[in-house]
Amino acid sequence: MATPALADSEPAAHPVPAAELDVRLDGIRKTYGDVVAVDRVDLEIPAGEFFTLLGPSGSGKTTTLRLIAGFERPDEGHIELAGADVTNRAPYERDVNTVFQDYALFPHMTVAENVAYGLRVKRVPRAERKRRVEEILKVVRLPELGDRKPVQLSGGQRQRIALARSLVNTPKVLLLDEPLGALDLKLRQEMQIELKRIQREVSDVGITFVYVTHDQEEALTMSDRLAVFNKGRIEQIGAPAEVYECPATEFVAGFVGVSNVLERDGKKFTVRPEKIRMQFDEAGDGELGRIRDVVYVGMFTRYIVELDSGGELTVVRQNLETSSQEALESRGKRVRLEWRPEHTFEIERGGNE
Amino acid sequence: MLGPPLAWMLIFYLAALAVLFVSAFWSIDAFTGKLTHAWTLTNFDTILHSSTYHQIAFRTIWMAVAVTLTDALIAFPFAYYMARVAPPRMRTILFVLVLLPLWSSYLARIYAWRLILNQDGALNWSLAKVGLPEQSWAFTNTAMWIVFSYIWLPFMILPVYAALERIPDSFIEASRDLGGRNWTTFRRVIVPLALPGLAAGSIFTFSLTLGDYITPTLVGNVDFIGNVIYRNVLGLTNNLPFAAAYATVPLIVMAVYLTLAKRLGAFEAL
Ligand SMILES: Nc1ncnc2c1ncn2[C@@H]1O[C@H](COP(=O)(O)OP(=O)(O)OP(=O)(O)O)[C@@H](O)[C@H]1O
Ligand SMILES: [Mg+2]
Repeated sequence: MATPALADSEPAAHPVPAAELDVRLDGIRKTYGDVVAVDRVDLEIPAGEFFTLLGPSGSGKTTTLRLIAGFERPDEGHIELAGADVTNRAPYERDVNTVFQDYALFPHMTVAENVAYGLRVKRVPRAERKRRVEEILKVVRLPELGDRKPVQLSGGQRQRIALARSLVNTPKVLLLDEPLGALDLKLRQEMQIELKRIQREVSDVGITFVYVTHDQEEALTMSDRLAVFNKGRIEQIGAPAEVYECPATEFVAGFVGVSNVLERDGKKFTVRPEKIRMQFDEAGDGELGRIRDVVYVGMFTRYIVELDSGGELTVVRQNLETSSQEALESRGKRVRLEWRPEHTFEIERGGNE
Repeated sequence: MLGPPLAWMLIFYLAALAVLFVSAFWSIDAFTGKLTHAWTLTNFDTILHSSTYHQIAFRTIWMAVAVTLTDALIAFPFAYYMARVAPPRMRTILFVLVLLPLWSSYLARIYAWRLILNQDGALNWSLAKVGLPEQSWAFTNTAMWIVFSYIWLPFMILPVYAALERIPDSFIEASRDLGGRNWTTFRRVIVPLALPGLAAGSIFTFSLTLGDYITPTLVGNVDFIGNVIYRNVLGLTNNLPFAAAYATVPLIVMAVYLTLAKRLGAFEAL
């Protein structure tokens, strides 16, 4: 479970002046035959932000990224990069670089040649090329591997080289499509930290990161802001804490974290599992229920509670005093759940932006 | 699993080659025409010092080079269109068109070319129709060059197609993404990745031209290595040892050629 720190920054809902915007999508729509891959998406990403597109498989994240890169043309809408309309420009005319999910390193070139490719086709002089390649290989911490061929690298190393090949061009915007998807869990967590470090290190040139993932934990831990995609539409845009704690729709509540949606008096609301206090006495305020299931997760235990007045809530408790034995034995017990009214958020059905 | 069949193949191949090589050191008795099993270098001596045999060898190698280059030039755009431009239906149609000639008799196809290139053949007839001067390529090196290039073309198209088809779209997108315009992407990514396919195809076109004796017999009027060997094996002279000795020339040429092709990655592309 990711529990991001509460963001004290104000919600980024108000529009950013166009000059500081790196990416602006305006009513973008893209269809493939009958499939609507991206449906009227509006997006504004200010310069230097780490912005994540989060959503389930097939929700249109990759398509959105490919539209920004220029590999696809939208059926409707406009794309602006740094204030300029690039809707009809080819990829090589956009100041944007992509890190591909399969890395797409050129197999016939060495690592150094791969990294130098962008500079080379832009006719950067040899000496400067060499200097910048060496520099960026240091940033991704692989300064020794310049002479190898891509096949001689491990998955994690390829990932870093793909990153270096894009970053060396210091694009305005860096697009990353599930760049850590092919790595194992441990390496993925390492690379998450690495990516943030690298973004900080190149931040003097101010590269905006647009990151695609379907892993909510990754999205919550890495992003400045994120957009939750569902069926080609954006359901919510906000800082991780905002999206996590005040999901705007039932879909977001379910996809980002545990759903925990209750319907009372015709209204739907959600409350996050760690905000619920579980008491084993039945006297007092709150909802009564019975523990249906207990999942011991080490640091904490997850309880699934069936409520008497209908519905089900997941409750998370840190294992401060309870042992695993005690936790597991509480299955079937009657409990009372309490939470503070300010920790509940009313949600609407369907799409809300 | 692969062991026994491979060993079998090797024995057959190597045995045949060994017999060939050994017999190259025998000779024919000039008077009786009988095979003499005594070791001699006479055959190699003749080949090394006869300008006729030099000429024939160079002519053959030169033709093989010309045919290979021609096929590479024709095959590349064709295979490129097939692999990366044509919609699936078109691709199937083109595939059939490429393979179709291979299903018909090779002799019949060469004969057809003879009819086309003849002085009063289909080509001159067509040229006259559009008011162009008539050609007289029949039984010349030009005729052989055209016919060789035609009959071996599928052997170049297929490996080049395979190499081009295998290039992932993401490589091309990556190149464009990094600032490579279409021509740059073509030159720096597509061509280098198609090179192993071209090298593989060239092994076929080169070696098939080197060893063929039917095309020169039917549409040419000069000797190729294959004709000399053929005549010495089955012809009047019946000098098997000499044929064997001369056959080592294309073998050596091919050995050199394969070494070069291997450098270009031809064997990974097959
Ligand atoms: N080239 C294409 N041709 C046809 N349909 C496509 C194409 N590309 C994407 N789609 C469809 O568009 C929709 C969105 O796809 P997209 O690849 O953007 O999803 P995604 O959010 O990246 O999913 P994933 O997490 O699985 O990568 C899907 O229904 C997909 O099948
Ligand atoms: Mg995707």
